[in-house]
Amino acid sequence: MKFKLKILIFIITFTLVSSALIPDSSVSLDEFKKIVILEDGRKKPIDTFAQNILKQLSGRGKLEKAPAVIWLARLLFTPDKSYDDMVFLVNNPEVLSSIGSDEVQGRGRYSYRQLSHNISKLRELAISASRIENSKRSIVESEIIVLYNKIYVYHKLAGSFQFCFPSPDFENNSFLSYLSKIKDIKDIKAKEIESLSEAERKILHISHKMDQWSGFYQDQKLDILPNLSSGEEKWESPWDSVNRSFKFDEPPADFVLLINKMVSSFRNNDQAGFDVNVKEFNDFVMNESKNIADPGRIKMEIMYNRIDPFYKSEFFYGFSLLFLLFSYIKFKKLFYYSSYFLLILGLLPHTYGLIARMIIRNRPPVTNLFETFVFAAWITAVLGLALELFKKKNIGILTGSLSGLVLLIISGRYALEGDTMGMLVAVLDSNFWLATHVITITIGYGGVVISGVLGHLYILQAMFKKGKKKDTLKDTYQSVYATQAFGLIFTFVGTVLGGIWADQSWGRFWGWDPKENGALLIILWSAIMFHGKLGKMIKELGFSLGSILGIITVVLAWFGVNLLGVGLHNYGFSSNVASALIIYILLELLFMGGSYIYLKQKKL
Amino acid sequence: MLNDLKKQNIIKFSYSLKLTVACLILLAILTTWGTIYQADNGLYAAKAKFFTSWFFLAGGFIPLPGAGLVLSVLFINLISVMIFRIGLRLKNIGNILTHLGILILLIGGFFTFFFSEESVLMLKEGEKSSWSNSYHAWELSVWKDTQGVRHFSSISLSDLEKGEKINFPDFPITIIVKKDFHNSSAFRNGERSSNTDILNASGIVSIDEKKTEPEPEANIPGLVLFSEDLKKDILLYGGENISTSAEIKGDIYNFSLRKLRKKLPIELGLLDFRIKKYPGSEIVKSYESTVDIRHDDIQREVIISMNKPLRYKDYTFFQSSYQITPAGVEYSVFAVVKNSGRLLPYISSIVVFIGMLIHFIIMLFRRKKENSSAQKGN
Repeated sequence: MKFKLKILIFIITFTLVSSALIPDSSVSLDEFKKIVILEDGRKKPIDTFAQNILKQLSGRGKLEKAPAVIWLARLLFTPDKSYDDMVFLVNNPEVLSSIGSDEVQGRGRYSYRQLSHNISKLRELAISASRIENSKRSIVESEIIVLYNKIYVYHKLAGSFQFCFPSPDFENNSFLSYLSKIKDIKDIKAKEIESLSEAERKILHISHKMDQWSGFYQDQKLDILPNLSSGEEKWESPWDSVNRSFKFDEPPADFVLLINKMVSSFRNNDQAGFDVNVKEFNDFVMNESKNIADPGRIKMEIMYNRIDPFYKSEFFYGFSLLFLLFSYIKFKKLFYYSSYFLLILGLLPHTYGLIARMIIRNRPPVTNLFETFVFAAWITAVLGLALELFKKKNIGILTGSLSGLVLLIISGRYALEGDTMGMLVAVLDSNFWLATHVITITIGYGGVVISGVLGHLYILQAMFKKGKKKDTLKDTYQSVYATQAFGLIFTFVGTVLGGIWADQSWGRFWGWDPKENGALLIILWSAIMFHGKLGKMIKELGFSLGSILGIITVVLAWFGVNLLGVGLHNYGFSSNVASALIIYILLELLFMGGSYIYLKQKKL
Repeated sequence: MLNDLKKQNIIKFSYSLKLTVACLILLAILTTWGTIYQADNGLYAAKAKFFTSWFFLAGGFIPLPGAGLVLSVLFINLISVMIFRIGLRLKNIGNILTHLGILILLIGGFFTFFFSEESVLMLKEGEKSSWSNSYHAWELSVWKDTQGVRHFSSISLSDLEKGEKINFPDFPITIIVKKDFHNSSAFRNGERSSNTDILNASGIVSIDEKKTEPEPEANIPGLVLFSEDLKKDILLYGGENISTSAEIKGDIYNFSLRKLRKKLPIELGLLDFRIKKYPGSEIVKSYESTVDIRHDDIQREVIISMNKPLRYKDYTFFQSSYQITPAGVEYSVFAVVKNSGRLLPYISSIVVFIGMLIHFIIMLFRRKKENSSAQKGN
């Protein structure tokens, strides 16, 4: 019986692991994914672009569990077939009723077809809402603007290859087919209108339609064509090229003809032809752009997208934690080792993800709020693992997987702003300082957080542990102390390095900026704890309670200053965060107060 | 003798850990409070009230120590601790270094607070200057040209007082300060009725006092001077672009209110300003200036860019921002900082880091020893 159960648990672990590792199949856009696109100043595979756009529209990086690029290909090549995709996230049902839609079902995702009848009303409302000052807008008004922008982006993308599609405006031919005959059109235009034949009049009419189209499809979003003719690196959308040809009465560029081939093979469901055509296009781009987009990095990024490493780590840390909790109940050893194994397993994609991002961007791992959480999660998981290696009392696994999981979940909330691997503004454009200051301080924050998690553990053990209580408590306290010391050293050095960076780039070492004050607060609090302990003002319990307050100082330094909305470092703000923050702090204070009173009554 | 001293109560207090903890707690409170205060009142006001002050009044009547005082007490506490508490023994080396480093950091802070000077230099492409401007201090500047040579005289606005008679050592004129506004608004002819006994080149006829803004850069001063010689008022407003001239005793004198100027040890000329953006976006990748500097008959070209300042003696020139006019004229803005204690934080950080590292490693080993001996005892 027991043996069977063990096997069962192994099977569960194995399936968990393997299900997380098997990548999504059913994709036949492998070549298409590699198309290079310039978005927000960075060259990336269209695979990433698709994810970013889909996240922007629907809040998720996938559509019905299928990779975003499948949806994007559908939208670009066959827009009419994507009208039923549920991609528009509407957070507030009032938005739908205010634009006169009868689809009032609360927060959810809607398709283009569902919203299409109300777009003119939406536009009207969005324009009037945009006249209101940002801070004075109601939630519904802001949401209306957001939804309108989503529709706008969607329209732009749907129009990207319109010049290849047959249209009644061109007698069921495409814009492009007439652009190829632009010389003839030019000749006709030069003639006297009275002398034109019937057929020529028709073409003149079509040229007017072309004028209209050319004016309409401006400022498209899909920058996939490199243009180095001016000596400067520029990327443009297919329409930019088409419009230029039309304006100067030139036949379409080779790029555009290649796109046309790509479009027609896709629309004819010709998979083999499509792959060949896309490859031809990609080779042409690489050749034209003289490899300014590094093909190795593009491939790496596609791989990174496919693996989705942080999601996998989250998954492993979660089960590591779960199994550890199981191990307290039954099958101690087995669950313990599975949990140990899962923590290490979680670190693999986590480490891979950090390294891949570094290579893709050619940057140190931390450049924005999203990445600080991902990196801090990694640090805490590593510290937890190290603790476990030294102490083998399973507190290392507990703190490592718990903080790794929680920090990764928090990072997910900031993924929309930070996961896109954006470019850095001038003042942050320094790999040296990013690598030293930001990393050290994040390591420091990680240390203080781990110490606080251990502090919780100390208090819980003091309250509920039976048996060899004294030894266990002493052991846990030593871990609280050591990790706090680790955190203090790195936070201090990180803060000073930040000061030096500030001195290097704008001439002041310290300016009482909120972010600086946040870091200072962590250092001061940590120093208070150590000196209080040294002067016997607090005991082990006091130190452990203090370490929990330490987490609060870290949380305040991380989010609090952003909530204040002032200062040079302010890079991420959300009002939902404010309430979550206050609730968290209140819960911690309640826990601290409650446990303290309980333990004092029991004379501990 | 050291041991005798050590027993005195005041000395005991000066190196007590309780004092350290009290100072640190106060500092933590001030930091938090000052940060929240910043959100509504701006950095400058928060700094003045909490971080650079000795005392401040909470709620208008409760006197509390400011960070200036707390840091000074902490400084004394630190020195005392180093003399009396931490013994000069090898096992304390980590501890000694850590506290020595903090001491250096505090000294650096005091140095910066008392002796550093910040100013700004804005140059148009092709322009040269060896003067930088204060960020928010103003001066009254008076000059006259005699045979092509310009004679200057300027007085800091903070030195002027209402009703004061200004004597210019080189100029035989008498000027009385009638009104002196820290922040003001000016009115032109038409907005207010004009008075013939007023001199102003920009057509300003009246200046009113305005409430002082918490951010000092937002204040634009106004000055009403009375010329005894002409029996006329001279109106000067900080927002004017041109100076007001007056003929007194046969000479033409020019008056203007401008940002306080500071002489630099070198002359800077802006040769070229460049800005780079990431392709296809408005995100600025970098901006930099090629400048031509002259000092002691030496001339050289340097590039100043973000994160790569120019250093000359105690002075550092930073690429801080830029302006491009609609006509395409490029201006480069440099922050100029004079700080002789600049290197102290660098030294401090290294010392503290090494100190902390040694200290905690020693602690770790000692604890391990304790643990193993305790286990043996069992």
